Amino acid sequence: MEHEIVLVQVPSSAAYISVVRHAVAGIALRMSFTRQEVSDIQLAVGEACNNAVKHGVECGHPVKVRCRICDSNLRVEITNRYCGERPCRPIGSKPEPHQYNEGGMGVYLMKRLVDSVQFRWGKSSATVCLTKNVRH
Amino acid sequence: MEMDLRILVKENGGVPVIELGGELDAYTCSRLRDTMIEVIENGNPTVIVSMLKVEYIDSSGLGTLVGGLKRASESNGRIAVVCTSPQIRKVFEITGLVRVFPLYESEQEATNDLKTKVA
Repeated sequence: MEHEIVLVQVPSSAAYISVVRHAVAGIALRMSFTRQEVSDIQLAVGEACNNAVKHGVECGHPVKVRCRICDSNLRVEITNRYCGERPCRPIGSKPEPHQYNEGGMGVYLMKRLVDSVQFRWGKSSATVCLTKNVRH
Repeated sequence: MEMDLRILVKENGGVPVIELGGELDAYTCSRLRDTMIEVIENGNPTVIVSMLKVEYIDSSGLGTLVGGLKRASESNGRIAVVCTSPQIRKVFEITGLVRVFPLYESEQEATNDLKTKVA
């Protein structure tokens, strides 16, 4: 199946997450996603980048984003390096309102907004793969 | 497309309104947190947060609103959210936060409801 690749790399800082979000939204808009679906993709990517920056900021390595565009879906892979111990595998269950704080909802949101969320762990890197299928 | 967060504090019928515009995310949410603390600690525990001009909210933004609500609740206050965007409302719905924050279509509707409940 034919596909195209777009690569984006930003410093591991919350200040640059919006740059990634807008780049991915621009790609999704060129595909046949609805406005709601574009918004879903944007939020899922934003949450994955939030986690990448949170776990990767101490290393000083950039966050790398690879978008694979094909007729049937958009796959976005967000990779960060991490130092020290591997972060815990996220559960992504729905938090109760009294448990809400400034973290803890990201993975749950990703799982609700895209068709597939996969985690891959390397020796010192972590990748989140988000896939949204084209339905139209 | 607005890549920053704009914050305006005003009043509607005597109720403080924090009007937001742009993007509420991990980078910008600390500014909302500071504004909410300032408004609540100035003796206004019941606050309207107007999100009519908000284009994006993530879990950090939601967490900031929950933090503001906890602080407001300590002084018997409430936080009402004004929001009409289907994209933003969906985030409140799938996280279950619609049960925590009443969502209103306009600032006036929120003001009227808050005043009724206080009375």
